[in-house]
Amino acid sequence: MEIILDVLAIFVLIVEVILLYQLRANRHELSAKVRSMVLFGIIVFPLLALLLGNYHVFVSSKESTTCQSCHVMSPMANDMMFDSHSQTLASRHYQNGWIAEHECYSCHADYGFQGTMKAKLDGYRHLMRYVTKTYTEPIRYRGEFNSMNCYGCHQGSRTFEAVDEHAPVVENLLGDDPTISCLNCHGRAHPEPSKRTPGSKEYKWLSDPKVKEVVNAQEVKDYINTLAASAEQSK
Amino acid sequence: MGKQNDKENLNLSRRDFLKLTGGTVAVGGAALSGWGLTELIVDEGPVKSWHKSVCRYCGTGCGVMLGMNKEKLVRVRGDQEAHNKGVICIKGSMLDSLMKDPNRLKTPKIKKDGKFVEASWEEAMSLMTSKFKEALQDHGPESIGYYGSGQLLIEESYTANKLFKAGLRSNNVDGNPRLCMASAAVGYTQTFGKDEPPGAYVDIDHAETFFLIGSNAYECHPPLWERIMLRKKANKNVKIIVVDPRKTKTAERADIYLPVLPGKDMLLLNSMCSVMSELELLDDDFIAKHVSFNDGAKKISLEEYKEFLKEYRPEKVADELGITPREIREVAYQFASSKATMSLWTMGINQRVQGVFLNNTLNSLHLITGQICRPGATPLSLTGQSNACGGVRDTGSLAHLLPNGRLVANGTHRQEMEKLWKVPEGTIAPKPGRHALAMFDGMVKDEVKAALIMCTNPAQSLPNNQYYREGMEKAFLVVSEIFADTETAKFADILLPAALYIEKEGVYGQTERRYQIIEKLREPVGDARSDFDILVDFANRMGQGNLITYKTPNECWDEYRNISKASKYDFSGITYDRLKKERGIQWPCPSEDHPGTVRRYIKGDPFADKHVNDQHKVHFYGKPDGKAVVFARPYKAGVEDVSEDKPLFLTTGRVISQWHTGTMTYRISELKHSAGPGRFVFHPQDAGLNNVKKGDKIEVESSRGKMQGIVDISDHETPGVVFGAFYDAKFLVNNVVSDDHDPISKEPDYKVTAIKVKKV
Repeated sequence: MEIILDVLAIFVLIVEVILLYQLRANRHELSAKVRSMVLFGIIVFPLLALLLGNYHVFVSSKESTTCQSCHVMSPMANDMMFDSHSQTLASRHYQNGWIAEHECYSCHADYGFQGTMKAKLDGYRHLMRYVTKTYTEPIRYRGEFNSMNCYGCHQGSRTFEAVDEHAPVVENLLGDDPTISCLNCHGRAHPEPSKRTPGSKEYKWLSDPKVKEVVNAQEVKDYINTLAASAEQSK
Repeated sequence: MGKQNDKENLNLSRRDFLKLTGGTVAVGGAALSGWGLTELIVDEGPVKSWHKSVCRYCGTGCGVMLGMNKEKLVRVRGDQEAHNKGVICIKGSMLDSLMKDPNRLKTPKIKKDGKFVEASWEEAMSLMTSKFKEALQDHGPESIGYYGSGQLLIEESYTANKLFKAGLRSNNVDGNPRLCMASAAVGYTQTFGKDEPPGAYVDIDHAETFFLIGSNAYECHPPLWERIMLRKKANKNVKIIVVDPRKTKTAERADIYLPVLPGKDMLLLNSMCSVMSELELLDDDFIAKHVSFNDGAKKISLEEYKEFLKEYRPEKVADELGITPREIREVAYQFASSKATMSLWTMGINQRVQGVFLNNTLNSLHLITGQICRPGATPLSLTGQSNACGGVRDTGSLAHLLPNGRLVANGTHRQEMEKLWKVPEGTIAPKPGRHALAMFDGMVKDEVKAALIMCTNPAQSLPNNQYYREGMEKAFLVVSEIFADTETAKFADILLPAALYIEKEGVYGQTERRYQIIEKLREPVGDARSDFDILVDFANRMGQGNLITYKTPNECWDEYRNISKASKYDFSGITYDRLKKERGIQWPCPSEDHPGTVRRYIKGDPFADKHVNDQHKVHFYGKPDGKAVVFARPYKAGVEDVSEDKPLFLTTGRVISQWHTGTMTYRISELKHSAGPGRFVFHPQDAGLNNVKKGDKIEVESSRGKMQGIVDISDHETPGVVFGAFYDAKFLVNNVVSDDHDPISKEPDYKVTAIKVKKV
């Protein structure tokens, strides 16, 4: 579906450029042909491009690779995707295949249309922060992570329901003033801030964009070790 | 020509340029204002500022991040940078609910004609002072007492200990750690010459075999259990052995589970040593270099020790233990042959009439197999309370102790402390004071006239409870409490409102010798004061202003850490400034640039450093010869045993959502609902044999008395064992629990009481 949309978008763009050039060249003779060019070139095609473009961003931004494409997200992505020894929740979910697709988005978007819109707006905010370089590492989650996002998937699952100790958690989360976070008992979702701080031993490999080019598990391990060793030497 | 014109017309005119610029600005402006809007609509949540702290509850000592909104604690999260890596438990997660409880005790109260009447601090403290002075004058220092807590801050316990022992000259200083850790403390001291464990939590990440005995870590130390589970998931060779008379949730997750009968596990430990000896699994090199043997009275040889062990061959003891010889052999082999074995234990070992022997022998298992002083190989007793280690064991706030491992009964130790505390020689009485049970027994016998009880609830937590309540009724009790409705508060003659948790500042020290600070984040409720302030005021009123010269916790800490220089505890490098910046520091830490000591007795421990080298990697500096002691400790059957008359064992303990006597956790609705009311839990087989079903009311009778309670049935119990938790004040299970105690540590045996049951 996405490839079709991509091809369609490029096609529309090419036609639009031709149309606009023709329109400008023929702007003195407003024949019926030119008028139809006006309709398509200035109104229909730009609208179509806008819709397609937006839809494209809307869909592709759910991909974890999109989040990963910003350098600032590398520590989260490298930990999640490539460190087979990592004990963070994100890594355990990713490496055990507990989330089939859209790994980042699945946890970070609240449920329903409102949740999707909120996630998109937040994504836009991240993008603006990133391109304007108005952020400092280690980045921190602003506001509160919504534990109902965990509950949405785990509720009703055999392993979740089998644990009696979840009862007070659910009572709290469904109460008037939920205060608990699932992370309290299950640990950090991503590497702790100190590891994501530039200059730390782990930061070197966590922030290295090349890690994703190494696919073999052993190679990743070796690569991580090499980086760790060089970080140690440079200290 | 026309075409040329067209081309010229394609050049941007001034007008076109302005239009284009305007358009770009408009689009850019829209993008920026859109960004601005997204920044504005972020839901920041209720937290205005985050503060690093330590959990109020158990001895795990989890680092927490406290989210404050002005004076209110609104969120609690695990501290990802602390040793617990962000993992805490359900109780700690709800500390915010505790801090906003509206029913706190807010003003001092004096009991008049059986009823509490509000009073001013001046009235309450004056009355307290006159009663203590009266008792001192009429009956001497032995007639007064202080009963403290493993939950008070170090500065508070240190002050109370100093005030009573060096000021009021009474060694009647004890507290609830006597009920939970005394056996572990004595065990370490006898074996290594120094209290507190050699290893640390980080060993969990390196161990390949976990030997959990008398520990329900799943429920009682959940973050540590999570760490063990992560270790197991990360390494397929990891094996978990659990020994427990109850099939706890910890036992359920074990690779090997040994359901030994209550009170018999001394046989198991000795039998494991016997198998190791028989199969030549002993680490001869380690033993030759670092271990000596002792039978409790004199040194013995390794051969004599091996001879002693022959009595405990699996075939000889398995029946009494209720397991098979094969299981004992399997566990012994796994323990000795694993790359790194870590033992973890708690109250199932400590709260026993043979608690010290059990602790000795657990340490011995590690010493004879060389499973010690390496990453992942160590004995590690888990602590029950948040500051029993730092606050009470390390400060010496028990009847027989003085600070930093010194003993009251040792003349040199007394002299050292008299010098450090700048009091005349002979000030500290040479006779150890009354331990917990003896102190309340002294009240029953009218020998202890006045006592100060702080931050603990003995009227619910003492075994053979009814008996000791009589003493609480007789003595003049000053109780410093956070709530007025606790069982102990009811016996108070004066109730003092105490500050709670982040309403005061001070240091906590937990299981792995880690000191962490709790910073003050809000003012105490009502007129409440910190126990530190109460003690300093009391000292002044008792004429001890020259002894307790400090006025703030920080000043007190500075005095205490400087005193520690004169011991092998030396934590003089742990300053408040460091504690505020770092995530706890493990002592010894002799200078401000010292990183602290993760593992003792090896390279990195400042006191071992000059003794260790490549050939001699370990030095047990607590002993004059540098060798730890393996004791040949015989099993002795306890008085409490099942019989035809009392065919069941009663054992008590904690549950995951409640902490100790429930003073704090039983008020929090989610936690209360989760735990349910206190009850007797039976294995289905015993329920059938005794003809009781869930919800039935029964009467339980032991050698100490009778009580009634409701029945619950669970597969987590084992046949022959009934469980009763002690968090519910309406279910005072300690009324029937025996107060038999270890003859050395004086720690009561809460785990083994023979009972009979009758349907009501």
